[in-house]
Amino acid sequence: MSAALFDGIDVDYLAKSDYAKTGLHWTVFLPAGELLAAVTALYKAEYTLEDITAIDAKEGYLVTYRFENMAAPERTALRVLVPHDAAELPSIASVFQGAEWHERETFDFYGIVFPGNPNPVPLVLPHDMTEHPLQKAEGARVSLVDMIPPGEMVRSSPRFTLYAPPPAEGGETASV
Amino acid sequence: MVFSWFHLAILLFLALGAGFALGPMAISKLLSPKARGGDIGMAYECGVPPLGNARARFGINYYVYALIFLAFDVDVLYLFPVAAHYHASVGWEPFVKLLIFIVFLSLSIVYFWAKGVFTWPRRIQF
Amino acid sequence: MAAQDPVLIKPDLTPEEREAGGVFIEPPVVRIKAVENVLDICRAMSLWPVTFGLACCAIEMMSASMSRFDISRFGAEVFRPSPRQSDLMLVSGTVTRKLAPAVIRLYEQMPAPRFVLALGNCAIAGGPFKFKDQYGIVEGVDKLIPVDVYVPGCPPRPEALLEGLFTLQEKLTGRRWWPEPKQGGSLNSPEQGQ
Repeated sequence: MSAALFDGIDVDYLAKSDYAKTGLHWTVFLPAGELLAAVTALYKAEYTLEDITAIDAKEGYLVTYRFENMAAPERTALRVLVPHDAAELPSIASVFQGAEWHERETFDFYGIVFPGNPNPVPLVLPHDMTEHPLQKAEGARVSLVDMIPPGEMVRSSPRFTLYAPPPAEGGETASV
Repeated sequence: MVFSWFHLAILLFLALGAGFALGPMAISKLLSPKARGGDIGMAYECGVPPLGNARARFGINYYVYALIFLAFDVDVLYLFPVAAHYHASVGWEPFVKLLIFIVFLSLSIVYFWAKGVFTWPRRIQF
Repeated sequence: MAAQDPVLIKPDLTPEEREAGGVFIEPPVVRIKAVENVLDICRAMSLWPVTFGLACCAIEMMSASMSRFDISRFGAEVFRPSPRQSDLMLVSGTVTRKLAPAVIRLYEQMPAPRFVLALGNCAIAGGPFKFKDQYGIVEGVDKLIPVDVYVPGCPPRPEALLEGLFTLQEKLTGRRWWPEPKQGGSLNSPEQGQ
């Protein structure tokens, strides 16, 4: 795959990743609105969905969609940041039917809702459980900068400031 | 009619058959503990309450197999007295009669064979 | 404990609770000690387990049913898929909270006399998955159903499962029927040891 796959999509950040260190060839940060377009492009390029997980970080929930192309071979991660208080993302189950279960599991553990999921019932946790176990306490959250290496940037949007050096005043935190 | 030992033997045989079937049920009712309460009466479906109706539609081929079995079962029933008496029969006549009977049975086998009843994957065409 | 002693899940079940559907075992109508002893021996020598493998201990259970350890020597060959046809529930593996209602339902669907063998640390007390703030498992199957024999291990060896079966047979009949294993033996030199 080349970066041309994401040509029509307004990504926040598109970078080549160090495969030996991270296991990914490409890492792409997206706004929530571009998610379906990116996923459809990957579907047309014969990628398969590997899994959907989330990380509870300082900046919000980073929902990661990992795709792979067995023929190439290539692994790509789409990352979408959602805020803690409005954790919602469109469901991609219309493109990849298998995403239905991964989205249910992500809801079980983080409370992220996926409107459009055809079967939004708990997957691995009991139905009567109300808390979401993998949400972290405020003090235990880590910033994404420490968790995800920037890689070799190919394209970035000006609104993406996660890896930007902090301003001299040291007042603002990184935001996507 | 004289009630002889032979009739008594038949009655005992019937009683033995009934006892063979009903005896273990009675023993079990008297001698074994019974589990009660909870979900013991629920239809078993791998630990979850049953989903959907049990009255599902079955394939027609099962019915055809049952039909064939019944037909040949009745034929065998007719052949039992033949088997009992055949050694005492004289001449070619009994053999020819029996042959005609069996030929008609085998004609029905040929018919079902041609219809594809004996090869399961092939759809039965009627 | 003989098989016919009433095993009550809640020992003080009142008649109203029984009416309301509480689970209990009714003792037999006719109680003759000699007959019960014979029946207990027959039951002990032919305990039919229900295949209730949940996790890794299920592999040990399967291994015990295979030719090397051969549980069928001791009568428990016929692993029934349905609880209605079995009298021993081998709870082998971690019981998650999502599966707990199914475990209870399957136990209730077994006819009396029924026995439960908790195989492995997870079925005994949650095993390695028991930690502070754990959200997913039931810490021990005896929180759900009454257990007769506990076989510890993570996972216990198939021989340990067989010893658990012998203990259950001893619980039923009052004595152990099979020879004790030789202690201190070695695979390579069978003439050593003891």
